[in-house]
Amino acid sequence: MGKNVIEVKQLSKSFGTTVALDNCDFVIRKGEIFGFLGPSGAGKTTTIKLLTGQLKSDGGDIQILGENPFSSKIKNQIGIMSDNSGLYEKMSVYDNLLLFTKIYDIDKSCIEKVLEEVDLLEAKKQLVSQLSKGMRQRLIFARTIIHSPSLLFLDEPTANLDPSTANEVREIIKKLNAKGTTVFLTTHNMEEADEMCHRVAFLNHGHIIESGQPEELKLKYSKQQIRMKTNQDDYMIPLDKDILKQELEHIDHLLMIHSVEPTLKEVFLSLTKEES
Amino acid sequence: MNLRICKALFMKDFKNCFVNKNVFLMLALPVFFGVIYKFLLGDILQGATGGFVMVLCIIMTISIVPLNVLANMVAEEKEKHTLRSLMLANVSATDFLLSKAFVALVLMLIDGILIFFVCQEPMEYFGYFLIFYILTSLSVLFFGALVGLLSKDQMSAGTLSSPLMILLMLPPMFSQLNEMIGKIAVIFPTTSFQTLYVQLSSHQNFWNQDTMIAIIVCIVWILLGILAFGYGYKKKGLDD
Ligand SMILES: Nc1ncnc2c1ncn2[C@@H]1O[C@H](COP(=O)(O)OP(=O)(O)O)[C@@H](O)[C@H]1O
Ligand SMILES: [Mg+2]
Repeated sequence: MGKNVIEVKQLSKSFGTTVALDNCDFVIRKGEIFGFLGPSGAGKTTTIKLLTGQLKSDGGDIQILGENPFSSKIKNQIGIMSDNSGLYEKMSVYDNLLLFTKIYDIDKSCIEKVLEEVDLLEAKKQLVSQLSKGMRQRLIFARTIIHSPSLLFLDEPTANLDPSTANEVREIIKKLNAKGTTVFLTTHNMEEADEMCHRVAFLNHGHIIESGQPEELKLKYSKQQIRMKTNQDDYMIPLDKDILKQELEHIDHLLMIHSVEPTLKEVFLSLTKEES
Repeated sequence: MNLRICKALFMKDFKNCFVNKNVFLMLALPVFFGVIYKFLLGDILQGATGGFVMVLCIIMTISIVPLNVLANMVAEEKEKHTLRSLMLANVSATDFLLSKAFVALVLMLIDGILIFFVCQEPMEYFGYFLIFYILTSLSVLFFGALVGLLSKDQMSAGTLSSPLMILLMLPPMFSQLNEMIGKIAVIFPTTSFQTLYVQLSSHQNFWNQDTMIAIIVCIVWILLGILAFGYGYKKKGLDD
């Protein structure tokens, strides 16, 4: 997956006495979907704000596309969808995007293209105030990607969406990533992260407590057990070749053998239990 | 400053002003008063001195548009988080505020010119009228931007701007009533406009102590406005 798009070293940020981020290190590689996971208040939004130059850090180093986060050179290469992105309610879908094509100095033809991508082409003349919540979210998404950024920051893109709209948004993210866009995504939804992310980092109280590929983490924290289901019983045995062989010898009617691996959520919960 | 961005923002705000009912009402109000005074109360006011109705309506515009309309436009974008979206797309605070201030200035000009014609003022005064009017408009404009800067939503913009609006509107209207009020009224740019225009239409020598003070008051207000705005901006930033 090539070189690093973002490199963060010893990043810290406090608000008064609240420590929002404490000595965080991580990298994001070109072309990946990186999930920043954690419960609310963990410091996810603060991290995005620091990475995108909306906040100054207290200490540490951030390199983003080879520049510092405040550099105006990179602004055209990144797209940011925050949890409170606003739209112009009294303007049409089309006019909302038109304004941003002028700001970014890009061709108007991008509007139709991007509306097609988020499936809003038919609503282009509608006023934003008439749109449903899901349509709004998709429009915000369209605006975030209208200048074809190579790096996307998405702060809880599916929070507060109904399951089917959330799914639509996830599909769009995957489609963009397949075309080469690097995605930094925060979420508190562990299943979503498991489904979408190439790598994740768990954030809790401003600390990164674990990071890696979802598969890798699930194996690492697996209880190393096998679930055996027969017509009489349903039980666990340790994950061991010899024990399994022995078991199989005195079972007459085997219904199912299943390796038991934890979900990402269980990994996270066990990690946070350890910590406290 | 980026001209392309300023132009795009200007076009958007200018169009939206006529869609936004509150803004439209505020703009229409002084012109509406002009029509009422001139055509319905014309007989009663027949004895009034040069440009009385016009000056009254202009004072209203100068008090209302920068403070109410400009401050609300800035506050609305904060409240609805559209300002944040703009800043994330690399729109600078300067581009944002300049384009808004320019919209307010253009709206004031439209209002002022309408009022001038509704009140059927003599055309030979039109050029001077514009100069006095722009001078006094600028005196208040930066304070309107400051109110927008200080308010987090339209509600707080209203709370801040209402007393200021009254402060600007009342002194020139009551300056003739009593000497004390008359003296205090001089320090307001709304009074300056009145002084300058009344002197112009009196056909006497334009330059005297009063007109000079009026112009100095406007310049002082403009400078104070820029300073206050600069200070507020440095202290608070546009959006935190
Ligand atoms: N502007 C702020 N002022 C004070 N505290 C803040 C501010 N922003 C965030 N915090 C605090 O920092 C911590 C992390 O917040 P945040 O990054 O928003 O978490 P998340 O996005 O993961 O829910 C929280 O304890 C929050 O209360
Ligand atoms: Mg958050």
